[in-house]
Amino acid sequence: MRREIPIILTIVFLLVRALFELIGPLYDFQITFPDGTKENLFTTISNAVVFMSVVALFMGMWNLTRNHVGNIRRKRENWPYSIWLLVLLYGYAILGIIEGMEGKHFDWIYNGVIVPLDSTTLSLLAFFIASAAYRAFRVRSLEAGLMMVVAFIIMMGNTSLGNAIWSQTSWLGGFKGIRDWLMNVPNAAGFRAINLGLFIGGYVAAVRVALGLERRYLGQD
Amino acid sequence: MEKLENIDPRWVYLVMAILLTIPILKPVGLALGMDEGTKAVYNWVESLKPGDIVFGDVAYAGGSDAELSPQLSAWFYHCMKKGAKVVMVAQWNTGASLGYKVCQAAAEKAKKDGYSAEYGTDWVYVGWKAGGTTTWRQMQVDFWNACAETDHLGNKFSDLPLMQRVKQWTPDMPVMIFSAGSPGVPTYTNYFVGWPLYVGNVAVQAAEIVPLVRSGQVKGNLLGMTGAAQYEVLLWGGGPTVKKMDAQSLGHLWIIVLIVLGNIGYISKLRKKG
Repeated sequence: MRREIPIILTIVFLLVRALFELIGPLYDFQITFPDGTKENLFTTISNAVVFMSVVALFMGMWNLTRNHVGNIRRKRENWPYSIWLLVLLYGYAILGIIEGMEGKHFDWIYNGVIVPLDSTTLSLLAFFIASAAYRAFRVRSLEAGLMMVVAFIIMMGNTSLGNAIWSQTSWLGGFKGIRDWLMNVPNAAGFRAINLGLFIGGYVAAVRVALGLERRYLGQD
Repeated sequence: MEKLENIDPRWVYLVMAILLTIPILKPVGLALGMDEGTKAVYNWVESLKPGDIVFGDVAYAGGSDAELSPQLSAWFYHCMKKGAKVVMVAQWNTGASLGYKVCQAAAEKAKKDGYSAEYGTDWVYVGWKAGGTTTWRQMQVDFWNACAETDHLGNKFSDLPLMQRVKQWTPDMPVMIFSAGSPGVPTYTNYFVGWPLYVGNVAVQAAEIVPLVRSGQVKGNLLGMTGAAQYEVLLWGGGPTVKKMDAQSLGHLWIIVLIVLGNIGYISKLRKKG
């Protein structure tokens, strides 16, 4: 029964969810609670999903805490970082609960640490991409050459320098005109093919779950 | 010549840093082109009537601050200028506070310029809500319930005049999604069929978004920092992001120079080998 009950629940909720999308008026279907209050069935189900996602968050915190407390107790390699992680995890959460989303200290950490660190990490891409492009874009074959030419046009089409060299108002719409054609025709065709494959794969996976053929999400005994 | 194939990365980084810094300190002033997607977003906001309700979604965080915050700022200001009422949600919890500050600053600027931009009346920042796409779907059925009836600051919806008009998120309330990845645009293309969708995306997402613009699922898009700069040109005739475009141009130019140098080195090595 440890496997059958979750599979039955999955199938039932998958069908309920699909029915909501297939039969629009179901969204207005109301249920009455024992105390007489009424609520949309979809609202009740949505709230249950939100509740589960919040429980999952706490499970994640619990798991992280257990692992890192273990690191500290056994004094595994780099264990002081585990202390730091736990201090930050719980300290920041508690600060947020006490002060609220726009609290002075909570906000100071967000603006002074999180946002700059996030921006800095992404900004490093400018340097790494320059270095990677320099090493990777070699005309080793026709395909590599084509890729290089396309990359050049897209880069020029996206910047004001490209527009200054070959203006949008001139022949073929300049770099921007060719960039737009590349993005709208070959790129769109490629991306649609990828997306169609993804969606068909997604549907197949959902059907396999619905039929009980896909059970890996239940874990292994 | 062969040495060109193996330039020390430290030189690559140093020149890049110099090229990015100089134009920010002293802008060159290269002329910008104009994308159709930018015009579409601008024309849509221009067509809004006072009192129209529009949604904005902050689906990004600090990593995309440079590209998407200027877009959000200009778009939000434009909405205030037109008298439209803006309800902001945030699919990324890590970006919710960042988006709030951008909107707050843009609202202050709009107020200074003589436009009405009162919190609660002209705009509300609902922010991030737990539950992902399920919550977003639920916003269409019962917006208040989906958001636990509170905004980002903890204010009750019942105390905010604008929210009395937003009991459900209906298709007559278009949305502008500022997206840097997932969750982002697919939430709307999958669950908001029939809603007019507009997107402000980071440049690397262009390949993914352009097919949606072409199919009509997305009505218009701002493409990275270029999109923000173009929007500023349309709105104000120029702005802070326009200056940053010179830095971006020179950065790209350096990448192109590096590719050319690398290939000269590669070809001369091949010739030497015979």
